Amino acid sequence: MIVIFPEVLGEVTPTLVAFVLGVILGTQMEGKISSRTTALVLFMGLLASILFEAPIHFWSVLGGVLTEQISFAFPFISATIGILLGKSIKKGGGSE
Amino acid sequence: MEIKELRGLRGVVAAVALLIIFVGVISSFIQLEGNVARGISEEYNKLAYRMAPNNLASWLYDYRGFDTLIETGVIYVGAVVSVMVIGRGLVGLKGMREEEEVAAAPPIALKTETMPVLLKYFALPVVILLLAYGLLVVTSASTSGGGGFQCGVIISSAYLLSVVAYGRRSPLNMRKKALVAFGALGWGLYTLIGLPGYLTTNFWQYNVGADLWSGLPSFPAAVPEAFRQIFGEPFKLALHLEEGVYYATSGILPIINVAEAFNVIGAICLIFFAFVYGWSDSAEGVEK
Repeated sequence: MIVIFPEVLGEVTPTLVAFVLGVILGTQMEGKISSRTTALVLFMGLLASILFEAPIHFWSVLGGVLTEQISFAFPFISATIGILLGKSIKKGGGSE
Repeated sequence: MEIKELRGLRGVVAAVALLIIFVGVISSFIQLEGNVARGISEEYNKLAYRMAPNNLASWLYDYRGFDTLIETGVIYVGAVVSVMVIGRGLVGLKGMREEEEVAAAPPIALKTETMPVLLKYFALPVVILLLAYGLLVVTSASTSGGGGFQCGVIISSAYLLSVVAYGRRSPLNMRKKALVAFGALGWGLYTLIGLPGYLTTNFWQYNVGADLWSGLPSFPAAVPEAFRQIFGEPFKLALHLEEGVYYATSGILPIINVAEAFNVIGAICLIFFAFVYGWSDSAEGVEK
């Protein structure tokens, strides 16, 4: 049986990198997003992160793994939040 | 571009970067003769022949690092040529007010009132989720089948979808300067990231790694261990083969993937940009 040693992979690093890159891309967006659309994006992002599951070899809650059957793709959620944040911090951006 | 425009800090940076790349690549080719070092793909194949955690990334950037670099370069050159041919006049020079003029052209935008219900309510969320999906792909590149190229294409698709749905004044309105910066930064980073491999192995673009935390000896002992537990060792290139415990880390592959992603985003979106904004009658070099 192959057991992947967990610590060396870094379960939090991809989440942070996705967040930072999301902020960078979010600053390229313009206009305003209604709060209803923001909620829809976050909800769909949460659903999608369940469908994508945690990246392979991730094993703990830090990496998004709740149980063997249920896990979240945290980089996807953090990227979504980063994009919305990047959009909101840009001049003229934000939610209505 | 004239030579005098390369004076100053920009010119120095460009000259130093080109010199480093030229010397490194040439000497790498010279040392290749009868002295080809095996990459790490073979170890990956032995490690996880059923799981393939890193095969694609190691093939692309280990054995085919130069090939992939040139491929991305071709895309970038294609983008520049497309902008020069199709978007003549969009390639502004210093001191010219080209951005506002182009953006102020009559939009072909679809008003949301006339959009189908599906597009009206789901186009923008899908664009945002596509961006997030692209970032998920690039951050998982070293442990899955994704990569920087795929990320760049996905995000370019988001840009195209946004423009198709909303027109020129779309929510994902990447500016020309940003796209050029993305492409140049990505390609430059990809190229220069070959330097660490060259310094340690004499081979340009060779995958190497570093123990990030042991390089910080001034930290209290408990802090690096906590960091190691939480953040792992993202840049360490390690292969541990022991009964029951196998692991491999990817070295600088994640950075190369991010660099390639930005290169592809800049290049392909720049091509879309040229098609979207199209022809400009203003001749180059003429002050508007």
